[in-house]
Amino acid sequence: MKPQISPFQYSILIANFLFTGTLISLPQVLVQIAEQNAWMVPFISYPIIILIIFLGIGRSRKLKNKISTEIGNSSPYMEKIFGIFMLLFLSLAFIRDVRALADFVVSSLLPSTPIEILTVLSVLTVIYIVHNGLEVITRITVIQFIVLATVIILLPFMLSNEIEFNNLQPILGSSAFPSLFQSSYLLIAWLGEVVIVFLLIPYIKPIKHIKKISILGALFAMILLFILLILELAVLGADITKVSTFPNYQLIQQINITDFLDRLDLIIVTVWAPTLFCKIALTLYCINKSLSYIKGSESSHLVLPMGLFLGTLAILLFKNNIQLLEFSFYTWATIGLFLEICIVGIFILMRIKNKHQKQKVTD
Amino acid sequence: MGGTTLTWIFLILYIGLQIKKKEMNKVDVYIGFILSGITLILTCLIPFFIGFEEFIIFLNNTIGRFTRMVVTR
Repeated sequence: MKPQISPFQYSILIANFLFTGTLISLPQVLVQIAEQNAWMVPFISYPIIILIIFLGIGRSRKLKNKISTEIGNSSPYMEKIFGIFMLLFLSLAFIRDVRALADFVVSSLLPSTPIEILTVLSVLTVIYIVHNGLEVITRITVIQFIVLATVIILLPFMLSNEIEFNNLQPILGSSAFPSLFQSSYLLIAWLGEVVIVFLLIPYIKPIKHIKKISILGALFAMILLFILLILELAVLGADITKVSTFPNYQLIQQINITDFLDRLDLIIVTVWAPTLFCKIALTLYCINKSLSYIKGSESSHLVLPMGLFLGTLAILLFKNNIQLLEFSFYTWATIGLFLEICIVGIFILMRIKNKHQKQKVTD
Repeated sequence: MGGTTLTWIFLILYIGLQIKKKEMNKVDVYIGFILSGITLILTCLIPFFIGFEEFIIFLNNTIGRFTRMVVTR
């Protein structure tokens, strides 16, 4: 039976997918470039998401009649090209996220555990989630993400005794605008991961307000990212944030409510880690779906070998965390953006071709 | 070594189950077994600390450098 997700679940999936990946280390480079104005970066980059959604999804009225992303609806060649680009894009994102999670756990929580054990165990967990289907991924995401969002919304209150508004000044100095746009360039590829919606469209029911809910989901993710960035700047200051490998982890370590309620960081990490697992699971699910585009038929038999193959690559491709950070901050910004533009372009072509095919049939 | 062993166990179980069940179509069997084979070979490199970091270093030195030029004042 075809899995079905509600618009609310879908918006949470999008919010989780866009938000959790950026949590690990990305704020460091955003603050490095935009300094104390980095909190504005999510809102400068947000129109890009709207553009991708509007360009890719097109008119919802037409989607309602027949969804163009179902396998076998468009030209087989176009579907294969779409599948190849999507596979490449998602595989790189999967490798990056798995390695980032393992590096974070090794650096902050379990320093004596070998990275390959953490990677393989994480990948096996993700494979188990994916094997149960999209509905299970969605339900886990909704539960975990609501808890994480609540914690982040409560963070300003928990950190109220540490906030220094002087750290945010001067707001918008003379050289602020170029650096804000430069910083936004690094964030765009991460937010462009919203292209994943093209693979999820067939499973949303009702599909009526798909554009609106996609935009709302992305907006929620941006608001959460904004809260974290402004708190990092206000609590840690730009000078500490730009040299910290895991600025958000350092931020939550600052929580000390009265004299006995500190070390809440471990509790918050146990809330955050499952959301990242959900993101990686959705990525693997979509990788399997992209493979289906290339093969021309759907099945879930390849999830395990594909997951373990990419997990092994995540161990072998990066020698250390520095290479991963360099890749995530700079290389991904351009590669990711290029692949996202290609995916949106191919998806639009698929839609146009699909429309022409249907017109021919009706004529 | 633990990561390699775990991967081997799960891949061998996977291959064994797929052969026994015979549920997969030919294309899936082909892709699945190729992926499993490559993964089994790659995992053998992990204990010897042989990696493919040159590929990432190459990407970081070309595309990453380009991005740096875009974002650095």
